[in-house]
Amino acid sequence: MSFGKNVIEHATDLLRVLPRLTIANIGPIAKTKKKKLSRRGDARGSTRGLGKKPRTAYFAVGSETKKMPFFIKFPKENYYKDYMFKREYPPVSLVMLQTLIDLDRVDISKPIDLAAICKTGLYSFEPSERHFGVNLTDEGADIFKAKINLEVQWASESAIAAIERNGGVITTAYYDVRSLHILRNPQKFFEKGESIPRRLNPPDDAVLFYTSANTRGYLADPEQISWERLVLAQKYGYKLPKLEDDPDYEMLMQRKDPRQIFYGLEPGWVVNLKDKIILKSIDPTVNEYFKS
Amino acid sequence: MKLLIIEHKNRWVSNSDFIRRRRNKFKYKKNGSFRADIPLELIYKCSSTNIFINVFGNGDQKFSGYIPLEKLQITSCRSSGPGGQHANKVNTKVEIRFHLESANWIPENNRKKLLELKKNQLTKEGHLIIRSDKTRSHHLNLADVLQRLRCIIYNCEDVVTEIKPLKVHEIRKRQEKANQERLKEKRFKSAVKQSRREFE
Repeated sequence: MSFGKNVIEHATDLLRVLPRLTIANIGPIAKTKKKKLSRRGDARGSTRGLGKKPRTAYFAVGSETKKMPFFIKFPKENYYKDYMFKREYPPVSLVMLQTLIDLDRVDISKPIDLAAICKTGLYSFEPSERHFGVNLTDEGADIFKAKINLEVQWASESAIAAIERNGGVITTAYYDVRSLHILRNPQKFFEKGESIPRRLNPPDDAVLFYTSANTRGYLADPEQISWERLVLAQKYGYKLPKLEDDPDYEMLMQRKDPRQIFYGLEPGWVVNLKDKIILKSIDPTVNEYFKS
Repeated sequence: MKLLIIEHKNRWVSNSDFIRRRRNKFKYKKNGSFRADIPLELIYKCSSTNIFINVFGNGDQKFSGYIPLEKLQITSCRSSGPGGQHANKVNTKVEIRFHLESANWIPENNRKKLLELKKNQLTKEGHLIIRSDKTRSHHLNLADVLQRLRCIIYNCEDVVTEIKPLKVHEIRKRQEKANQERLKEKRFKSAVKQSRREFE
């Protein structure tokens, strides 16, 4: 008695069940077929699958034959990590500021802000290159002699002292990218016919700077700023000038609201330069939005 | 971005009891009448800022850090060292001079101690002099001089170092251990010396 099936019996049983054999059902034997190298990186060798003739042998981008490519050769450095996300503040020294004042490029009878400095044409500042405003450096603190109401985006303690020593006022204020573009070239913005936007609040990593009194932040407590003025006067050795007795007290106390971009202009207004009129909205919801 | 609301619960009060308020109003005036819904005045409920200063220090008072600049003679001259035309021409070195014994603004304890310490450094008339040409700038040298003066006066205070009870216990433990080590060494040496003696 034979148990189990014969090979032939197996095959005939299968033939009864399986579909008809066609070319589509049959596959090649594995070893007879070579793998087609048609994907990127498949072609190996120095000529990269292009042959040895000079007109066809072009090397891969970045390869420097027999040498480690430049961009692989040098190791990565941590110090430039996230450089494209960091804010930059191109400097304006006190020397520079004093020369601008002496040469009448800037009017000190009015408050000076980023727009006034850009208007001189002597300050290179590109918002599209992650520049966020003016950094006031203390070079020239000895020679600085002007009483001004200054608004910058960054200032060192020594520079703040130099300005306050001469009876001036300094504040540090944040402008978002759109506001910076507008301030840099107000005329171009007004010619568009758009309503003046609200200035946005500083990002998380800048909040501490702009809400602290020792950096004269625009969101800081005015009472603490008074105290810090005294502290700085004691530190740098000058008598703190009394601002109320100053004839220019009104001008020195002028300050922009945290949502304002221009002095004297509110967010929501449309400035028409050609007809020299300002258009204000009547709609209460629109006004509510711009005042929030 | 939502508007950040900063809570400012208490009116800020000076750290030292000895600095009273001096009139120094710093009230902001808005350009025109634009005020946003949540203006700074609402966040910081302060109408005016008055800061007074107690110029005269009484006998028992601690030094507050305030230096009345009218009582000092501040002069400047050219600095030594290299630096080219800038160093040759510009007066960047700062000198402070004041009569130490009659300086009422320094508390009495500090003044007495200073007189003892700086006895040999005072001039014939009794003036104390501090100079600085540390930096290239007069502005910063003046700050340096004032900082040094403050440090000198602060360091003259009687600092009472209270040792914690745990620390006292630790110190005693250490002393006992050191003593035991010393006696151990002594015994060892004594044994060595004895072993060298001839047996009698």
